[in-house]
Amino acid sequence: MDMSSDVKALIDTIKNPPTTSSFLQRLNQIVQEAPDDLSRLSGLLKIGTPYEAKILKIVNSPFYGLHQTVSRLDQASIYIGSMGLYQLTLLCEIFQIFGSRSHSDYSREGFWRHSFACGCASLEIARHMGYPRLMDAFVGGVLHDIGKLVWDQFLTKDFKKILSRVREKDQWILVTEQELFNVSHAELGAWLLRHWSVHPLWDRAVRYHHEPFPSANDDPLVAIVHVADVMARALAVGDPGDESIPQWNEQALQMCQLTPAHLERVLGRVQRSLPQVEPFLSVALSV
Amino acid sequence: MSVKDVVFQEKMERMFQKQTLPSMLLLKELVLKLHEEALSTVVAKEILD
Repeated sequence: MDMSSDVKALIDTIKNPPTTSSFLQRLNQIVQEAPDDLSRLSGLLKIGTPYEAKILKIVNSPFYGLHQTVSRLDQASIYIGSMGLYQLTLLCEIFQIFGSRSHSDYSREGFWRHSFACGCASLEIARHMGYPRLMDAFVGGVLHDIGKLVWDQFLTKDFKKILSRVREKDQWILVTEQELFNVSHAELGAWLLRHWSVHPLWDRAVRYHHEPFPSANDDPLVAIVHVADVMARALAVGDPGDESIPQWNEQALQMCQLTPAHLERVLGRVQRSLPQVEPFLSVALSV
Repeated sequence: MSVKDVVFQEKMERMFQKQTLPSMLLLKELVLKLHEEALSTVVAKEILD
């Protein structure tokens, strides 16, 4: 994935870009090299993670709907697998890195509510079209706007200019970012995820969530997250940073198998699933 | 209709005002319908309580 010179120049101004913990890096290695190697996973879990209580709170919530309460990460990993553990650790680490307070006047709560609504929409679209990796879809949706946190936390002065123009002209944040800096939150988010070596599936979904067909062979997750973002904006849950609604790409809609009748059903499921992400929000906002 | 609902409806009208694609207009209708259904559920619950 190419990075424009404008993105490179802007990223170069970020002093000390965040890194992930060694626990997450080792978990990432296990997931990529030997996701079913339980002895390697349990060896890592013995070291422990500061996110254990948070992860257990989420795993024991109605979102996962386990039939019994789990009290240790090794028990949790039996149900959600090493990939599930990686996904939850990654989210907890992101909550920790970016905290619950904005550096501009773009509320973190509004940001996370929109992000989790997009996660719910991605999950329901994935379920509808038979996409096999439901939690990957959910996490892709949750991460889609992470570039806005990069603006907010590390390029605060520039982000304040963007927000001010968005409000002044009542325009879409993506258009404003490009007008002022020729850099989008989608590019910044993809850069951060690549910097952290997360699964390439997510960095492509983040990078192309506003332009879903960079290549014909792309994983459907790119189209799923694109459609989910428009749905989440339409449901007016949380705050995507502006009050615009971008038009979705009809090819992406077709790829998600959303005919008018299906759209009604899936949208209803998305709205009903929203309360289930409250434990995630409570963890995100408690940092 | 409460002030909150009027605000929601106005927000939808504003957000979708430039949309012409039939599937986007359908999305708007569906969101308004879901909003109305959610409201009637709240009202019914209040009556029952």
